[in-house]
Amino acid sequence: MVGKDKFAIFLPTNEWNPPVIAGLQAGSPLLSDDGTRAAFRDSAFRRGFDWYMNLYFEGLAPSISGNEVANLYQEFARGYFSMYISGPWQLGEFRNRLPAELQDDWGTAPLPGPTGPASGVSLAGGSSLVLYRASKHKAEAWKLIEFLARPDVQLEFWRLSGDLPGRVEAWRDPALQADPNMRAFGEQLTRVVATPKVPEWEQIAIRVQEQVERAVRRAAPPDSVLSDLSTQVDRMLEKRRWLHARRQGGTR
Amino acid sequence: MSNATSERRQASAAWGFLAPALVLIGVFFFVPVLAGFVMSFTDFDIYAIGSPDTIRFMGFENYRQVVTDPEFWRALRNTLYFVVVGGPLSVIASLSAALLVNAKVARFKGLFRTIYFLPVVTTMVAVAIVFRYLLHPKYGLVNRCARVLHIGPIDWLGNPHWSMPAIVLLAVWKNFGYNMLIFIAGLQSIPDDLYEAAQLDGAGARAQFVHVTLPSLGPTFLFVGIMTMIGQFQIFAEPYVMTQGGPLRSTVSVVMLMYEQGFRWWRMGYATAIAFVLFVIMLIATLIQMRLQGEGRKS
Repeated sequence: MVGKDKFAIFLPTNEWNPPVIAGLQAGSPLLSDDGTRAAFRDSAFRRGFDWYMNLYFEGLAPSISGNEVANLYQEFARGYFSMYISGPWQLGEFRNRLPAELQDDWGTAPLPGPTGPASGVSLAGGSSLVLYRASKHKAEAWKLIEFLARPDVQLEFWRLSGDLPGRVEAWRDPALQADPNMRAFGEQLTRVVATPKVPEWEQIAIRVQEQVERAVRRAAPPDSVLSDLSTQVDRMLEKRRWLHARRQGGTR
Repeated sequence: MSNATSERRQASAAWGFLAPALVLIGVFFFVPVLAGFVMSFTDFDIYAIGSPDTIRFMGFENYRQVVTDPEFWRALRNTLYFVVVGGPLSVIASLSAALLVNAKVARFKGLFRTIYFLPVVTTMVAVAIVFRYLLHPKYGLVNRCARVLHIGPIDWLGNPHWSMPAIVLLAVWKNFGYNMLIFIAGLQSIPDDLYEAAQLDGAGARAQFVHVTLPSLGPTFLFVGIMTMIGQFQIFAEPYVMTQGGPLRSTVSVVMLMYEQGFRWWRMGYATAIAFVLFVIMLIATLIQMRLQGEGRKS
């Protein structure tokens, strides 16, 4: 579909997930030293980053943000772009909003990877249930987690809200198996990586997005983008390093 | 009853009536401002919310970081753009609208006043959605019109060079109605005999405007000028809903930076330092403006 005003893939410059996935697929841990240092200067992230940049530089992806595409579904239907990375919550939208004559022409697929399907990892999104160490109701909270993790409860959630089940057992359900667009997400769920579990992650992710946008819009060369990103993220993690040092100093 | 005791009773009654307002201002203004000031010397952040023993006293470190942060200077530059370009444009638009609506030959004055005031009371988010469609690079009405004049297509919100002008225009359109009402009130308070006297002396429409209307609007100008400037310094909603500060952080304002640092990343210490730096800048700008306009009125 590539041609004038037609692109192979739409990677909005205001989303952090695609460049982060590119880094993860290349084997980058994103942060090192127990989440106290940025790892964006490492060769792994650099590989993913260069590959990602080439999608823009070769004209496969438009250098624009999601704000500039007024209606994602219309543009997809018009053929402005052919691929888009998103989650299962979009399935219903695509079914409802794409014209009827296009309904047989679209489908979903798990992400490919740089070294074969096994490296095609992705993010699982909001994937963690947390039980506070200081909680006064640990037993009750654990009971709730057990309940939410039951395959039949997860299936019920899927039927009610479209949220995908996390348990392999639940994926044996015939209704889930029958939908090929769902199956792609089921397969992807076997290859997911969690983002670093540090409170600064959200801020770091936005920084990645901002710096990648600079490179995409050619406001700065890729080298300086990655070193700026590392410097900024290292500065954000200063408190975390201090907390680490304090804990190791035995004050706690 | 002696004079002194009645005065004392009056005074205590006055304090009684004032107390609710004073308590409210104290609790919801002075205490938070003081707390914010203290906080700006600490590294109060997301860790501190969980365990207060991780708060460190930083001295002027936050302030040092603010003034050495390129992000802050970019935000300040964008904010000054709003003040220097958006402010005067907004005042000119409001004054022109007020003159038009107030003109003797104008008809349906109430209708036009309402129409011009409508953007002020319209929800910002609804306005933003409509403007995003108007400014859309491919299907927007603005670029359709520009194409007729062989201009463009301009990617209004996606090009870092055009994003600021686009948002300034939106902000002016959204807010000029409010100042227009104040100008109308100012125009209506100018006595007609001044114009009659000027006419007898042979002043034309232009001379009347320059020598009667403008000087008589002096106090209104001072009020509108300062309020507009303060409003532009605090600009937040327009860029926030239109571009979220992008593209390439070209539309981030100081208040938006403060919001991001404080309420998105919970770096409260840093965010309060930004707030106090902005306060000092606004205070200085307001004093300069009062001095300039005050002198202008005396001469």
